[in-house]
Amino acid sequence: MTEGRPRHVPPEIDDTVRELAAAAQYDEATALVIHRFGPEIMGLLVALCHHDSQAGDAYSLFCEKVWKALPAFRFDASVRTWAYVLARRAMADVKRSDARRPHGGGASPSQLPDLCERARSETQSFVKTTRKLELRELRAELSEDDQLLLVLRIDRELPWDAIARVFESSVPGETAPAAATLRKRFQRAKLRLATALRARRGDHD
Amino acid sequence: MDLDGPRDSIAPASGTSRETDAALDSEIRRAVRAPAVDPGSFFAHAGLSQLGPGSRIDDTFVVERRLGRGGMGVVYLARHETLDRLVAVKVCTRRTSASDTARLLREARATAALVHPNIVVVHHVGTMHGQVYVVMEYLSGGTLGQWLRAQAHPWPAIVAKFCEAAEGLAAAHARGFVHRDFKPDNVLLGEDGRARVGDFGLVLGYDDDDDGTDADATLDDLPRRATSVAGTPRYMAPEQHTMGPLTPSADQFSLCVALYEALWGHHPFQGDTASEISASVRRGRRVTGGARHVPRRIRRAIERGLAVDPRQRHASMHALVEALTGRRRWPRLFGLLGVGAIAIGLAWSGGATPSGPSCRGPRPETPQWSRTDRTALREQLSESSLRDGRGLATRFETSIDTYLGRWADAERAVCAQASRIDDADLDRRRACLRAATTELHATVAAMLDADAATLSRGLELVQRLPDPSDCAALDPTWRAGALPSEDPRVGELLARSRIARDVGAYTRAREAADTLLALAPDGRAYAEGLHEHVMIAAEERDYTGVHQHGIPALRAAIEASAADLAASTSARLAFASSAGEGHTQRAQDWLDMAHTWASQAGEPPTLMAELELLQGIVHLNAHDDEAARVHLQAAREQAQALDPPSTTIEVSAMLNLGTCLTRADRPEAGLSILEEADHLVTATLGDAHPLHRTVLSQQVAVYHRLGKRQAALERSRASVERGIALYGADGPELANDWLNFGSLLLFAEGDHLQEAIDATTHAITSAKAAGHVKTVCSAMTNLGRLYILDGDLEQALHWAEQARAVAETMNDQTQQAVVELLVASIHVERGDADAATTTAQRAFDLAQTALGDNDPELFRYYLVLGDAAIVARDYARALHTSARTLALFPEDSPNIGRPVAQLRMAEALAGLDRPEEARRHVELAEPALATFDAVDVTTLLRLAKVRAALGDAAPFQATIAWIRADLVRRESADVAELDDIVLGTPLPRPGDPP
Repeated sequence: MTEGRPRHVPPEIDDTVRELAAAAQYDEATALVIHRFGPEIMGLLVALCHHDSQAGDAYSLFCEKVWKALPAFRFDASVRTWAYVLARRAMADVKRSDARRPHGGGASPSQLPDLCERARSETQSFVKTTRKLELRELRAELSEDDQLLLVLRIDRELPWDAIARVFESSVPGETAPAAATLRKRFQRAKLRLATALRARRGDHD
Repeated sequence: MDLDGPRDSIAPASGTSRETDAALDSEIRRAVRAPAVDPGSFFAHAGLSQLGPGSRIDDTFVVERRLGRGGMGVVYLARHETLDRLVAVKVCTRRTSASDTARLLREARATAALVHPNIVVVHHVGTMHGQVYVVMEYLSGGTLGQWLRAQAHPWPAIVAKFCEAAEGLAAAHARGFVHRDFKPDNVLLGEDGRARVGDFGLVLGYDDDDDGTDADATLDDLPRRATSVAGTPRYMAPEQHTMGPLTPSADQFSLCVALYEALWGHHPFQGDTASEISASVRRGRRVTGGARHVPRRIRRAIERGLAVDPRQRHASMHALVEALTGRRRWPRLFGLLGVGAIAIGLAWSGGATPSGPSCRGPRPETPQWSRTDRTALREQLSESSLRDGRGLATRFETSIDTYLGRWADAERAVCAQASRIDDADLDRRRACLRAATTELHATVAAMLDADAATLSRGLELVQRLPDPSDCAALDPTWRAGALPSEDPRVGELLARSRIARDVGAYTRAREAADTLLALAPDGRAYAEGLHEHVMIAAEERDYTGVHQHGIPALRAAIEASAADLAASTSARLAFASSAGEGHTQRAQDWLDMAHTWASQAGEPPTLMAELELLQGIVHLNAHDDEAARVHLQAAREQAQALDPPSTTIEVSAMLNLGTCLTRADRPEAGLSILEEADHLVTATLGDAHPLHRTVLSQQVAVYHRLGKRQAALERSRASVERGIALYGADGPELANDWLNFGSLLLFAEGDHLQEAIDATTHAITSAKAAGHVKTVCSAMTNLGRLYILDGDLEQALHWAEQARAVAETMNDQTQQAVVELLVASIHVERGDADAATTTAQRAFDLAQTALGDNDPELFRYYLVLGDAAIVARDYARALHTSARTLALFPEDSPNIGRPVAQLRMAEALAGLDRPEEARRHVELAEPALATFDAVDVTTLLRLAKVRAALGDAAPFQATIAWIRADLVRRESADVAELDDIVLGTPLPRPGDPP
């Protein structure tokens, strides 16, 4: 294991989960993982999903995946990294299933909230959009994976080998080449975001 | 630099400065922040099935509490956070049931398609987490079922409620819907008690080609035939039980069952269980007998509605209402149904595409001016109190026909241009024609529902309609009414509200604005509705109303990106802050904001003229008369230059200029401009217009200033009478009129004390309603003074203390000094020397700080200080104060203050036993007092007492005779007190030793 431990994750969680899993106490182990990492996973999902209901569905699926996958988890990455792997899968599943769902037809009343939402967002720009929303909009211009990459590296402070695992572009023990690729991708994503920020700043100035 | 290190700089190097990199670094960190979210609270807030107080729906509605649970879901009371409006949110909680969702959607769509005063308004439909929710107007009065069960009601009240519900059903039938589930629990009552039919969950589409109804194409997916027995068995029609073809008469049957039950207290058909009742209904097995307290007409009407064969029932819901009420509806349908029905009525008549050569694109429909409207209006005018109603009707019809001719010519001209102009230009010209149509329809609708005052101005309203021929030669910058709503009723209602406001019919304007608000849940139309309320409140001088509606209106205008409405609303808030609260800085802030919005809106000329006017008013209220005059003059000129000129702005500018001139000691010039304003208002707006009343009240002030009391009183009385007719006796608009009237009455011939007390009491109520603190305080102070004159010192003290409490909130030392003066005078009257001395000194100190050392107004404060000294028998101090008072006035001063001060000197000198000096002052004071029209009674009685104390028989008798004559002329009850003075005075008789 080469990944370091971020300062805000207590080290004992991995050992406890491992002990519980070894004792086949999967329910307790699942509860512990969800209790410990639930809020930061939920935060990630809320930030990266298109709307709250999608985030809610993805979180439910994430919990289910933890419970189902725990017996097979070999602890070859930290529990936190593993949680992010599952969260990414859950998010991808939900988005795929949403994309397949038909979007009504004709003049459906369900379009009304969208119209209202559009009106609201136009209004927000009219009354000087808050900086936070602007930043969120800018980030949303990147691909979903690029957004996830930036969040995991910058906000969640995950080490590169852990990120490689989350992106499932590596196998345990062979994270270095994948991490190098992700670093390059990270640089490109960051540059795009910075360019957009500069452009926006120029607009404002 | 480790560019990707989590806590190092993350901004890519760009050759910019280190500070810029650091800033960018921080921005990137913020952009990718994904703060942790507690899943528990996330689901608690997002899940619709477990909503509690504070839960949010779609980030827009915040739940306040649960109102109830029905078969399909839960109804919550929620607040639209942005618009700050209470709504009812019906949530379908059984998320797995597709049929429930479909039913709720159907209900929402059907209800949303119906806009009628007697149908619940649906604002919004949405889905969240796969669950449908419907946002409806919140009605706080419960259901008709609850109303019926709560207590026994007289039959006319019950019939009236059911007739209202029947009107709602009739509107649904007119759109091709059958409700299928009418029952008292599906009728909701508003705070106003008006019944609204709701729960259209079982609605069926209904086709009847022969009836001329206008089924809505967007509701084609409504089922046309019942596929199962649905409804509430107790109220279902026989054909519902048997799944026969359903027509609106099924609803008629249900309504008659419910009405029968409400009047007689039992079901009209035999049976106790649902199946027994069902069998009786199908076979027509009626209960016999029943209460005799219901008129036979009503009973017959209900019996017919309960016929088993639908063909035997009333021809329509309208026919049932007519039978129940004994009233014929046509041709005055508009008047009976109100605004919503008018919109539907106009939709019925539909417009025809203009005839003539074909041209590119869809041509606008011809404005409607139906035979029915003609007849209704002719009747309306003939029945009105107008002298030449019939002649006016003819002239009105001719002018509308002429207008229609001009419209048709313009439309043909636009059609002829179609091949030469581009699409955008063509669309704009046609939008211009449609806008003219909307205005015309609103004018006709306003006339059909008008009082005599509006009717008398009918021709003028037509003359002021936009000229359709302008549409054929449009300026490229022209924009159609800025109302993006596709619903023609929105434009219609807005025009209707404006026209009603224009003729001063504020109640009707408010109704139209309310209906508009119900129709438009958000966006520009909603902002327009709220803006109308602000305008109505501002025109009624209801400053509280302006603030109350202003903030939500501004918010809605900003939401709808309507800079012009935001500007106009900010301007009204400036007006209310300045005129209502006397808060100059706040008013200026609002005005600055209004200018910012106005520039975003492209500086529309009318708005700019209004802003100029308001700037003038704000300066005027801040006593910066010079600046005020410049802005008011500019506003007047801009109002005249508008096309068409704005009488309202011009007259308002003139009124305020009048105030400026009067304050600048040029009352004659002020009066002259007010008379000019009076002519302008009467000629263009009519003398029933509220602005005429405003002109009258302003004239009162100037006549008073010129000392023309009788003229002032006459206008004051006229102004109050007009005000009562317009707003009711305690309307907030009347505060100042009542106050002035009360003051003027005191100086009128005869004893008007009680009338003055009544007027001033009204002033307090009105000023409180208007939220006009300064007027409340002044009126309370006046009332205190009036009670002193009435001899009721307890009441006087009560009102003085009330006034003192109000004055303390005002941060206005002059006002506080005036109130303290009153309190001191009361203590003087009560003979409470200590309290009188303390309060008189406090009043004096406040006045001196507020007015300076030499203001003649100080004399009142010196007088009461002197009076307090006299009560305390400290005649030396009284003499000193009186001498200071006298020094305020030069010898030839025409001010009554001088003789009053001399009288006080005499009183003090008499107390000091210096009769010769006292006599000299009395002899100077008495003839001077006699030159004033109406010296207050207290002064006269004091004069009598001094004469008595000096003991000179002949002068005493002469003085008493003069005073008695004056009091008798005024019909004053104080003659009795004069008699007491006479009787208590041991005057020397001829021959007595000196």
